[in-house]
Amino acid sequence: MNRLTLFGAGIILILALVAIFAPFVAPYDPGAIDVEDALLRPQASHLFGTDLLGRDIFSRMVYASRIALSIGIIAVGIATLLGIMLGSIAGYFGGKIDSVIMRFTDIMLCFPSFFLMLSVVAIVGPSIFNIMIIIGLTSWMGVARLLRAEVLSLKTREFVLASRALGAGDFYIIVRHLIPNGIGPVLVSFVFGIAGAILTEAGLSFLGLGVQPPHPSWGNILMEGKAVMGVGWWVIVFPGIAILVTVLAFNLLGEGVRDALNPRLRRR
Amino acid sequence: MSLIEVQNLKVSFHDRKHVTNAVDGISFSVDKNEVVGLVGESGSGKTLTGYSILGITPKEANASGSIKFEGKEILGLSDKEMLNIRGRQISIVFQEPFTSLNPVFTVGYQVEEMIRIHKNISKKKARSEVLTLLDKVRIRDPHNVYYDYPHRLSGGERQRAMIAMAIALSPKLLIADEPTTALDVTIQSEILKLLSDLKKEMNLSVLFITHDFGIINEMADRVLVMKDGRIVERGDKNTVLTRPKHEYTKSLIDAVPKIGLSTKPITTTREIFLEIKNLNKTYRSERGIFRKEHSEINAVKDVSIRIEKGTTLGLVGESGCGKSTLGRLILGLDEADSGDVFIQGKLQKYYTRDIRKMLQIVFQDPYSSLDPKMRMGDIVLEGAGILGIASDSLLKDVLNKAQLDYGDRCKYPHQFSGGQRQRIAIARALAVNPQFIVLDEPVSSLDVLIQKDILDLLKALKRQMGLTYLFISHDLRVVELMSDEVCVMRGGEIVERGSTEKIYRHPENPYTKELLASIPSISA
Amino acid sequence: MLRYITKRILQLIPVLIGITIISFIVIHLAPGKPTDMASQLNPKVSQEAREQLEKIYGLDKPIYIQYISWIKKVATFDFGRSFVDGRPAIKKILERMPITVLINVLSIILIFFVAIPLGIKSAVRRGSVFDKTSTVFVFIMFAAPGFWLALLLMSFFGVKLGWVPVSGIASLDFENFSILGKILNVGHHLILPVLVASLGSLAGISRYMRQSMLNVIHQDYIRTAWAKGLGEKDILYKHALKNALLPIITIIGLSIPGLLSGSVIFETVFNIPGMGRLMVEAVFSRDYNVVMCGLVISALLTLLGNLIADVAYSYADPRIRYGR
Repeated sequence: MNRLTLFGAGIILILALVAIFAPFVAPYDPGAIDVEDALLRPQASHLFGTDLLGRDIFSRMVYASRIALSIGIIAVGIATLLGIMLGSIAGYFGGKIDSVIMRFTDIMLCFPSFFLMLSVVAIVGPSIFNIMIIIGLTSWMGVARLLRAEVLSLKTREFVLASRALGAGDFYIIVRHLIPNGIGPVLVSFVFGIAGAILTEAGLSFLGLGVQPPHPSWGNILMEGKAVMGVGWWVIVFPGIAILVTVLAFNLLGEGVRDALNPRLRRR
Repeated sequence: MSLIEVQNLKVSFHDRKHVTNAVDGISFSVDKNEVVGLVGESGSGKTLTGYSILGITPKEANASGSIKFEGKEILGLSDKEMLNIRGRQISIVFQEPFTSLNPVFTVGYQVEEMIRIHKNISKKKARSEVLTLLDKVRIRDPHNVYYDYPHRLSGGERQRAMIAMAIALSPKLLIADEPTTALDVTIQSEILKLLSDLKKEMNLSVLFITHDFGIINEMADRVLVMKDGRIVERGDKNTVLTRPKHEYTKSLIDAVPKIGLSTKPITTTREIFLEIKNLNKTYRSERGIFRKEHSEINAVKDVSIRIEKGTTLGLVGESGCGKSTLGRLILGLDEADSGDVFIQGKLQKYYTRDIRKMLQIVFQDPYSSLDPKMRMGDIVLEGAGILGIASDSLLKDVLNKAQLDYGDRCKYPHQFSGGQRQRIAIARALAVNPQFIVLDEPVSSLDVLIQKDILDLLKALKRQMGLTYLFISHDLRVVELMSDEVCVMRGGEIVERGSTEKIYRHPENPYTKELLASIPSISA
Repeated sequence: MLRYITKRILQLIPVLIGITIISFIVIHLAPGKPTDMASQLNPKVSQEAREQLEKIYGLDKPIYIQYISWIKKVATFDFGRSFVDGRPAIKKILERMPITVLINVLSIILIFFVAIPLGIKSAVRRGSVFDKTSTVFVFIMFAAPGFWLALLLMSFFGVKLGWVPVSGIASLDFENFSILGKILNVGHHLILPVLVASLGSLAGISRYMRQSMLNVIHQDYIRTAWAKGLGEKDILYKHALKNALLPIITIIGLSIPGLLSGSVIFETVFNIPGMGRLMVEAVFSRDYNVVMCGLVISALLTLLGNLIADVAYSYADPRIRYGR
């Protein structure tokens, strides 16, 4: 495995530990307001400084990592499951079923995701739970297309025909042959998808339409910090770096998984 | 002085630890006006040898030794120094006509480019030269083809365009790298004829790379036999063909099935195993929702056949003739538009598991016929598992029959060679104890020596287990070897049928005659 | 090719219908009637607004009749009036649209002229210092949240150095400028937004370009070009590039919805009066008619962008231009 992949995996592991053991890692209560300590610079007692309300930014970021990771994983999990189901059904059965599912996919792809998510938020209101569902329901299309393409090429492969000649049914073939062989790119897109979902959550929260205060999220810490960034650079710098490093780690891991699944055999 | 003189040529690949010598110190020469055949199986290093002469080996490859062209050393020249030699003095025709032309330029442009790289002439003049060339390689309608893009041409036409490009500057040496392997047999014979005519007309020297001794017999003056990067035998064509010295050469020549020798009596049992009546299948590719037109392909047109129990029916035809479709229809892997299939006298409307296990199939491509994510043992027992009869003793039994090692049962498909993979596919079919097997080009992607092993195995199994075969192939030589009766298919229809002896000795249909005449054979 | 384009346009009809259906579903996501929820959540939604919603969606009728009556209005671009100021929703969206489209078009141009040469150079000089540096740059840009970059650039170039304006699209005394002055003034204001809008896609697309170029270099027809005696430059920039660009056209087409999504964020950060910011404002004030209008129009813009990309592709690829 390549060094960058290990680096990405390492960061993710650390992040996961931080999120799981947040109460032990965070030195302060993330919601504890102390107006006297407002906008303290980074220092030994407040590693990343404090915000306008005197809350410890490091502690808030530690708790926010829980939200980022859980939204990332659950939202992408929903999207991936949906995508696998729709993609494999469309690819395997073909014909009318395929055209209906794929047309639906095309239509979903026409909506700029933020416009769609904002519209839904406008109606159902923002909450951590809603954000997970909304991101999940609006980002399955890539997986569906990917798996469909895989299934389309796999289903004409001769081992699938051989399996049918041996008496295998549709469900058996999809589960036993098609999904195991087509899952590689889906796995890659799962890892990249988490990175994307974390960015999306941060963006929504930054707009004030994602995770709502007082729950800390990297995005809403930035939103609150925007107003005071002229006086306290640390309020916006650290959460941004946290997002960047997390997303970078998932992207590096994704590249690593992809390379591991696709040994470049073709040469001139 | 020879036109080209190769001495102690080595081409090696270095990865982290090993050095592999793909070409391992070979020496040979090609004289003016001579056709030298370079024969070998895949992986023998024959193509790399050709590429080395042009200096177009992969970047990772290291070539050493000496290649002298008209007395001048050309091995190790930089790309820049080679520009004047490539295309102008030495040119090449590749194996894959479908991918060797650039899809985004017109055919005319690509041939013209060859001329304009090396000659400073006007566009208009170059264009008329291209038209002459296209005519010379017998492309009908050169004016249209000039403005066409490669995807609109057939494989044969593309290969002609490649040849036009290769001869555009009257090179001294033409390297033909399996130029007909990807083509149908009738097209192959036209291209071979074209090449030998051009050779005479233009006084070309040719290095002809092939795996097929039949082609060597038709094309070459001298032969080099290559194995594992070395030349194991060389000599005059007739000498090598009639009195091969090296064991490998002998086995290669022996493995080429001879044609028209079939004298075996027909084994009839009078018991019909399978009968199909008036089977039809049309494929439609729809052109969108709003246009009513579709392109229709009559894959199988009104085909009726019967196969007696314990015999082999050979089904022969060129690509796209519907022979594979027919095989799949019989197995119920595809649904016919109309027509009936009777198995042991019973009409089959839909295929129950009991019927399916009686009918099995072995495919051409041993790389795509095995699930890469499954272990060998699981693959072989897949059908038995579905029927609920999987057991270790069954596995041992069928592996034994297919001459596979029980100890390899936990390996994955990619750990096996092509021939072994085909044995796995056969074992998988045997595990459900079938009575009838469709063999869909089962040896077409295997090297000729391995072909022979697999064909022998299939014959032995048929005897032992009393199997009935439908043997589908484009290769008339192999079909003759295997079949009791033969059907010749063209455009979805059976154009001629009869005993193997009748078809091969006394063909009646003009297409059958053409097919037979096209085969490059040793026993001319 | 005309036939192909006509075909593509006809294929848009079911997609258009699909877009309206999904939008319609969105407004019905709320438990109960949209009007109930609207009035509960936002006291600003007056009796009058509620009646308007009832009128537009025909909420007392069966759902398919609601859809049909809604789509009839949508077909004439009647999305009802804004709850905030009573103006037609479509008017509000349309007056905000040009600036959003302008920024996105400028971003695509920037992407085209920076990402593609970057990708080609990386591919041609694979493993070089240039390739490695640009790869690192690309990975970081790809991972950085756009709004955060916007904040950083804004506080550095805008606030600290004072080189570029940080808010809006024109100066306060804009009306007094000459035409050239006006263009320069807007241009000056747009530098940061366009940069921020394109950075993410720019990184992604240069990566695709690099990969596409590397794939093409290994094709058989490139070997043919070598065998012809062509020089490396001709091989790379003529034979390889033309093929490598084809998938990039599609990718740029596919990146349009992402760019539009980005508008929501950077328009908010830079205080640009475009569609994206209007959308956010409308969501905050539960101005459903404007939200729905924005949703449908944004999908239409994407559709249009994809159509343009498709036509460009069909022009560039002879396999489509001349059929099979």
